Amino acid sequence: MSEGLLSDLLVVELGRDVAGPYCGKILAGCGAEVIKIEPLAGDPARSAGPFKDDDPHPEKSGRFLHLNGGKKSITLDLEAASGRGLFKRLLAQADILIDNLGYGVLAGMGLEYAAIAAANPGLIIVAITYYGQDGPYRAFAASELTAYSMSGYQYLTGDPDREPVRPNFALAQYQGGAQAATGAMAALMARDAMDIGQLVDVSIVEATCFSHGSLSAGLNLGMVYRRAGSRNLNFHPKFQYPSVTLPCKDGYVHVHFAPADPQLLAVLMEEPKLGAPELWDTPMGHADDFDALCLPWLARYDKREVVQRAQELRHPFTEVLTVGELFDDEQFKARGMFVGVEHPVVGTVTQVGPPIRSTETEWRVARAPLLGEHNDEIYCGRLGLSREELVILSENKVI
Amino acid sequence: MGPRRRPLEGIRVADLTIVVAGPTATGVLGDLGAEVIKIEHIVARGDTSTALPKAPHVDEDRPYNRGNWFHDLNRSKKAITLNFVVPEAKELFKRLVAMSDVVVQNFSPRVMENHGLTYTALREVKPDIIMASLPGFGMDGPMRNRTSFGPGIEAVTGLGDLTGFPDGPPMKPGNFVTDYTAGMMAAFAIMAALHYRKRTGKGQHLELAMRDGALQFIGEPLMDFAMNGRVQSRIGNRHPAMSPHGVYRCNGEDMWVAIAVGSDDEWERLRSALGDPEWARDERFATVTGRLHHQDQIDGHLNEWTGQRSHYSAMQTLQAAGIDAGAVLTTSEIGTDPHYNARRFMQPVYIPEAGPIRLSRQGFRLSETPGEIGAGPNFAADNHYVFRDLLGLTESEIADLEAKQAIAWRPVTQMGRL
Repeated sequence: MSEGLLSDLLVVELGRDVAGPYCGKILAGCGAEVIKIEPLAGDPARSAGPFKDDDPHPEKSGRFLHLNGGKKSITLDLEAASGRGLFKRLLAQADILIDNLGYGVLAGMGLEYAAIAAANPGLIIVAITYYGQDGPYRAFAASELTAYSMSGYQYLTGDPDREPVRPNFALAQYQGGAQAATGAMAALMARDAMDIGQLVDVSIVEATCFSHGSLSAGLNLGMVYRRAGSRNLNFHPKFQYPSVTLPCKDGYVHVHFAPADPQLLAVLMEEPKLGAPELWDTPMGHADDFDALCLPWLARYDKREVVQRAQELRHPFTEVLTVGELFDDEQFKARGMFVGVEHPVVGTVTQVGPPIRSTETEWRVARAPLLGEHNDEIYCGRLGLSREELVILSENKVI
Repeated sequence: MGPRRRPLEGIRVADLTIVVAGPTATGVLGDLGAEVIKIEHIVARGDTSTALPKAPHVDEDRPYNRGNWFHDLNRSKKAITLNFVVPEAKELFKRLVAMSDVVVQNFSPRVMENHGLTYTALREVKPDIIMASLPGFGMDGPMRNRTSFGPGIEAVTGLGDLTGFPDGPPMKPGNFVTDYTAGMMAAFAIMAALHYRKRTGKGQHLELAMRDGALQFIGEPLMDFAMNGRVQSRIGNRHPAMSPHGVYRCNGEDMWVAIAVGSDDEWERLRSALGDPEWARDERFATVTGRLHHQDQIDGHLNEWTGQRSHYSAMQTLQAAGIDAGAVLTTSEIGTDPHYNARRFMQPVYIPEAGPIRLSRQGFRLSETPGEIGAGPNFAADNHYVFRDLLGLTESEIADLEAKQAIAWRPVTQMGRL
């Protein structure tokens, strides 16, 4: 069981920040050998918090440690001709190249995708940018915040009476990285069937837009969804309800109707008015009434009790958990979703467990590499450079 | 050179998925050329995505064939019916599995066990079958049998507590985010498993718990707790190391522009793009720590500037100066946006009983073998193709199945429960 789904693949990652590294991490989790090429100063994620003990050290960035588990790190200056030569030698052995340095960055260094592809006909090039490889916004300045806004997600997120808001995590960039991995697999399927490589053009903004589930209603029905707190966004009076986060005795719970028997909510909450047919005839039209009828019962119990009682009646309620509470969660504990791994600088570092489990293969949970930790192994071992050459390259600040 | 095939042509998927997460996964596979056979219950389109809105066809005949969201989620699929309460239906399903490469299901774990249709059972009829299951909480563990939907998974995985304003309640990021992320991860895993099968000849059971997938997305807050014991929560639109960083009111109803400025160089460019106003020359705003400390004042001034223009106009003015700015787009604005349209993100699809609609592709575009969005199926549209042509049943055998309510041609109840 030590093999992964993709153990036969060699991936070269020119990844920075979140999206490219997350794509690389998924492939590394599936057993691919992922060689991460970092500039001499390191992936900018190494400068991003949170840091262990708030010490801004390049090996102590929580973002970097989370996103680069199981990879190998080499340093390389692609601005130098010698660096580009080594890059090309490495690509000759690779199955997949992940690049999210930014729109036009590689081409600006004389490494156009067309030339890379011509030299490596079977190579799958995964180019991840915010806006994609063409279109009028392709060279726009962008970040997590503006990707979230341009994807249409932000208009859907927040209090209806306040400005649109965003989550305190990089949802858009993670979406981009995840869909880049899926796109890479689509290209791998084509390569397995037709023996061709190709360019996978990934837009973080498009990936995020695909996953808010509201575009087709806006395009085809003229129903422009708008943010509604934690309620479902479809405002048609006959749409299902409740689906909402409400306060209980010690926090919040997510209250959700039971499709098989919604009127059982009245039994759960010991509130006969919740069984009224007019409520269930137009549930979304009575959203305020539902909330008001639920609140007194919810206020009597803490979130664990609310959810336990609801699930006993097959109502799909859940607790609203804080990040700290996730670490005490019995289900995550039972499934080993937080794994301690030894790291030479940080000590024991927590890595998130597998998103994919399977009967034949294993997901790799391992620590992130130190900057340039695998220079010897890759340059000498894989590319056959001598120690003398390694020293010369180092003195010239190529590696 | 003639047109290339799509990447998954020749791959058949037996698709038992319902609602959002599972159908998203099989929709990706369908767009990439797999033959996806959606297996629906006879009672109704047992799928909340067929619920309203059905407009503009809601009052017409066969409303179950006209659901807009249904056709979005179930693009590029065929559809048949099977009622597993009838033993013959389970046997037909197994015969279909024997002719398939992949089975996908997103019920809670007990459902397939109750039907006797576990991976172990299906491997008996197709040794190299790839089965993908998308439970909410997992196939094992104390919460395995909890029922759940996407919005609840967000809540119980920390995403809700991290979304919103510091002085307000937990919010929901967008709409059904964990359903889509789980579906996308499942499509990834299924293709990786097809690659593994090509290399080793082995199939396998893949488990993609929605909650385990969503947990990957909040790595930074998780690491902060694990390393420092700090519990991150909601921070509105602010950023711990960038200022100004927010969403600003524009000249139009509920119209906003997002602006993100980090370095001092970017601040200088922003000042100049605004016409070097007096307020921005304030010494306190010249450094990033000063700007973080005085963001309320800066936001007030920026709101005055953005309030005089549309979101697109503010975005274009700032982008011309290299400032990171983006309009807060609505779905209808995305439909007419020049960039989305130049990249053909939305593509026209003709649905026989719902007419022409536009659907979006995924966030990736392949240069040599792009996917293609196909129409979703009418209810039971492919009963004949599957039962007669693939499985070789006679017309009288098919009629017999219908009489036993093992299959149907129309939903037994026309409208699903909303």
